[in-house]
Amino acid sequence: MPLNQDRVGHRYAAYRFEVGREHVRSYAAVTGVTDERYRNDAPDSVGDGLAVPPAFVACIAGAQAWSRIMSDPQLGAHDRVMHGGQEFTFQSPVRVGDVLICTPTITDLRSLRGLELLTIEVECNRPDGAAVVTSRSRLAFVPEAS
Amino acid sequence: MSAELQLGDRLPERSVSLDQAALIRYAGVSGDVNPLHWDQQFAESFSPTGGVIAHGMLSMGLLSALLTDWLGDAGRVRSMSCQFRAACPVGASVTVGGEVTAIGDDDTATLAIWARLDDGSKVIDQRTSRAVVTR
Repeated sequence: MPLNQDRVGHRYAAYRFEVGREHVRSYAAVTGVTDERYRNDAPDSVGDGLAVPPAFVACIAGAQAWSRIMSDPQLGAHDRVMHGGQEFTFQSPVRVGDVLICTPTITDLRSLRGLELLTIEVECNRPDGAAVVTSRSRLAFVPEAS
Repeated sequence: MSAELQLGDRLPERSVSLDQAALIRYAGVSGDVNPLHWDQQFAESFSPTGGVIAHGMLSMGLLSALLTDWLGDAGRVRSMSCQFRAACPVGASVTVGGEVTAIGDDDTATLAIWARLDDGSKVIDQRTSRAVVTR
């Protein structure tokens, strides 16, 4: 059952994300940041205003967007999926303590070599509407073998 | 790094072994709990390696960490774009690196960034993966 082409252009409900210092510390540790300002054991680490490692945006835009597309009954997504590509475009840095309002949108769906490639963008803005970062994920859905 | 970036400047390469514990830690911190990254039986059904593979985003995260450390200010990163090619099987060692390939008129430098396995497989392909940073 292919994904529903009519869902291209669909915007999902926005959600609020607070960039928490413990979350950034954990992310930095798992990905191997050595800068002491991000380290778990430094007493003054990860203060408010510290710019997050760029791919931390995956934590902001990934799981929530994922749960929206996977639970969208009109899209027909399924769990046989791999990540094909990822872009983050910053209008300004994301900083510890930021509050972001994030809106996922399906922007493209196409078939290629037996895969279904879904592109989902998440726009992350300040509560006053100023753009901060856009995440663009390309997901490759693998159909069930027939 | 405080000096202005120059064409040909290289990120110091970094190698990390991505065992199952690393994948589980990444799943926890990122919220990406796709069973492809921890459930062997599930992964067998369609994974390109026939088994559990690492998150592409974990390799991108290693590059993100490298850029953060090297630039001294993560806020200098204006964009980051990665194409995931070869799958990284659980337990493999991944090496990440990059090189400044262009200097922009707008106070930016562009780096080609990459992640590869010991056998040379391109997990993140430098031909199509870039970071644009404030110079």
